[in-house]
Amino acid sequence: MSASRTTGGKSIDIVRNLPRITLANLRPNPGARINEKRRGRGQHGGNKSGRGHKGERQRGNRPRLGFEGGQTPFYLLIPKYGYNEGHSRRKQYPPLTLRRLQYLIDLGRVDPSQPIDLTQLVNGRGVTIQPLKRDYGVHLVEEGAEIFSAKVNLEVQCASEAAIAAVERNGGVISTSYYDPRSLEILVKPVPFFMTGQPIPKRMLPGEDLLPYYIDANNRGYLADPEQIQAARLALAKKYGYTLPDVSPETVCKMLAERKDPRQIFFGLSPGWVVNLTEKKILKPTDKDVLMYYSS
Amino acid sequence: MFRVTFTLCVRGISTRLISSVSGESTLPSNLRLPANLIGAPRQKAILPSGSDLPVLRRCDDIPSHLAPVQTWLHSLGSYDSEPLGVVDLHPDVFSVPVRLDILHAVEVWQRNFKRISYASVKSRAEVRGGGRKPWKQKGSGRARHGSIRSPLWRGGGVAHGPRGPNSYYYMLPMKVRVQGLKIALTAKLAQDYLHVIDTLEIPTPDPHYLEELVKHRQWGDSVLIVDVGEDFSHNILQATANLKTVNIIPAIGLNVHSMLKHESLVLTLEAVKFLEKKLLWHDSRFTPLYPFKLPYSDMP
Amino acid sequence: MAASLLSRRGITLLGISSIKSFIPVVSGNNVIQLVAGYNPKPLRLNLKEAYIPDRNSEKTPEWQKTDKYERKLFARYGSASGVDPGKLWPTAAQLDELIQEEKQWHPPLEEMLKNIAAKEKEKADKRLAREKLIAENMAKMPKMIADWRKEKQEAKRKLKEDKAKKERLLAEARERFGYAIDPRSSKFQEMLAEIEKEEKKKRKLLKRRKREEEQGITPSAPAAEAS
Repeated sequence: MSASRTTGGKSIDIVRNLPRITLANLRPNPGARINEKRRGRGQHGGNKSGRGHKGERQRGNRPRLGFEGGQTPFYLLIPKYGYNEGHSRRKQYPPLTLRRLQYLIDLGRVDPSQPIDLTQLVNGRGVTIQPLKRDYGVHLVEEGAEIFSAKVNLEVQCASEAAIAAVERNGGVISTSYYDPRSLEILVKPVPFFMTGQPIPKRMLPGEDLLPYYIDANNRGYLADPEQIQAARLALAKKYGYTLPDVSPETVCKMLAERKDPRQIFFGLSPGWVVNLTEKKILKPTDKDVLMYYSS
Repeated sequence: MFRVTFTLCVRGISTRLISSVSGESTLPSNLRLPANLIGAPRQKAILPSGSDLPVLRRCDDIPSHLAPVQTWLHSLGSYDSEPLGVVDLHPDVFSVPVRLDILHAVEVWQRNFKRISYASVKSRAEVRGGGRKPWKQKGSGRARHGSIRSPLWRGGGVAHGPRGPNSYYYMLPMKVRVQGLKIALTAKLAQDYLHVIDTLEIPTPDPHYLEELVKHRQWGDSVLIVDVGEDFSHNILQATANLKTVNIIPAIGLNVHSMLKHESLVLTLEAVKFLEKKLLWHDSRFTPLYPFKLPYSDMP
Repeated sequence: MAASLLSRRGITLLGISSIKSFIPVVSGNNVIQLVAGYNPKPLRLNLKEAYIPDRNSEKTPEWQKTDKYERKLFARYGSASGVDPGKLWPTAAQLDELIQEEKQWHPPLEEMLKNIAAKEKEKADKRLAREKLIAENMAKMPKMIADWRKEKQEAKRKLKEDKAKKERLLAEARERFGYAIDPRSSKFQEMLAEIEKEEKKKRKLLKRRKREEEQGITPSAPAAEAS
């Protein structure tokens, strides 16, 4: 039995020659527990217990931090300025590195033969998205771009230029798209939503602050003109010095060409449909007004 | 004169060497035993790595960089029967790094999480009476007092005493608890206190038979027998019912405390399979995304 | 018997996580008692048969009669729930409300683009105006600097003259009185007034002589004769 072929390591060899491990000889690691100091006990009682002579120091009622003995403290002397104004309402994009994405793909937690969107990433426990904490999606960052080698059809909410280049260098497709908080909640956790039995809502357009980002072809925005995107791909390839690989096989090409409608939340499911998981059925509305509302 | 000092020196060095070689100083204090306390030397079974007996149980889905650990397969059929063969055990369950601190944490948790301390004493407010000032503040020449139930008085309340039933409930993280089980199994196997048997079939419901068997096989003072716990056969139940040192437990109830309390652990093949499945699941499980009452399709 | 029952319940209820909570107690009469350290709660879910609340019954709570709850029931039990699938979608009135809301809060893409363009334009205009103002002011700058320099030199020169005059006066006073005198004393002030008077006189004289000269040079001869 070679110790090297198990995860046990040397500890098993040591334990083998020790007395039997019983309830009597268990203990925490030496130094892991520190006993609480009990001051002023025994022969040291009646003294000051190491707290010095009188006053705030002895009684532990020190004034608040920044208090300067009654004069206007420094932190009140300086006028306020709104550096952090609206910080509690700012949109958050947790980062997703290319290294992490490659790791997820290598472990089989994310399937690169299918289009990857936030549902796949969250389901593979690759990212944690909390729409109620003002998360608006993931930000693909370039860390690990040198080892990224998967060919993917990726949809994220924000992407850096180098990350876009790394994905496209491998022949992949990337797009950035916006999900309003309600759609995002549905996208990251489809099952709880389907269990409410409601029709899939429309995805809303980004607000005026984010619209320019998603219209820009350099960001591969989902509202950008496809021709401009093609031009931007070529320009980026030139800038980063690679040639765009030619995607020849039919199936891969089909997978890479898959794209969501700007109003669509899931691949293959239109807004207005109801998914029933119990009966494994999809219910589609027939009423004209309803269809009109969901298709507009 | 010189010779004497020289021999003295040599003796000092040699004793030091011997003590360091014997490893007494390297042992942690809790594992060091005085020489007169160690009982009769146990004869350790030879490991089945080079045996020609058939491997009766193979272990699937072991990662390629790991090798299974092996042990003998016994039977309870007769108390002097030879091993039936060899079984493979999963290295991620039966050969993990032995962490005594984790065992300690799990043991302490097991003792504490269901503990409720009922210690309770009355404070000066709860002791009957004592509402009136015993004598006036001034003029009596006695010490000033406001209540006859003050903690200074005999029969008074207790200051800072234990208050009411207290819960000591806490939960260790699930992965730590699982790790504790794996470590306990590993330690039992490494120290040759783990025995695998095929079934719990014994020929007779007589407890003496089991006692003889335990003694003959050197299974130690106390034995814990584990099966998957669906239905124990009549014979084994009858035999263990009045034996205090041989206990039987379903695999779902196997725990660190019981394992360490008993000297040796006897697993049936079914129990091994059950434990491996349940404990290995935690290595690859995903954290839940949403409540478990909703349908999942991706949990491994 | 009890052991197997309890362990089976343990499996279904709590899974592997709770296996350590059972401690075996081997008692007499070949029965193994498993003593759980706590009372497990009964499972709240009714898995065997679906709970479909009766809409017409008074005992049913109000919240179980809502559309939302019926949709949930349909999602949970499918058509066995007896819910009309048409109810899964909003009614005409609700749809109108939805449309109104969308109209109010979610303008179409074109309008947003227009708004953005307008805003951009406004911003650009503002910037251009400011740039223009800066350019204009920058054009004025060299002249302003020259003016400022001149003014400064002037002030300096004046200061110097004043100083020189004061020195001169002091020197004069010393000459007149024979000792250094405090410029604030009344004597000095008197002297100052005297000097000023003299100066005035002198100036007057000078003026007159100048005028006379002028008259003498130019056709003022008859006037001079006359005077």
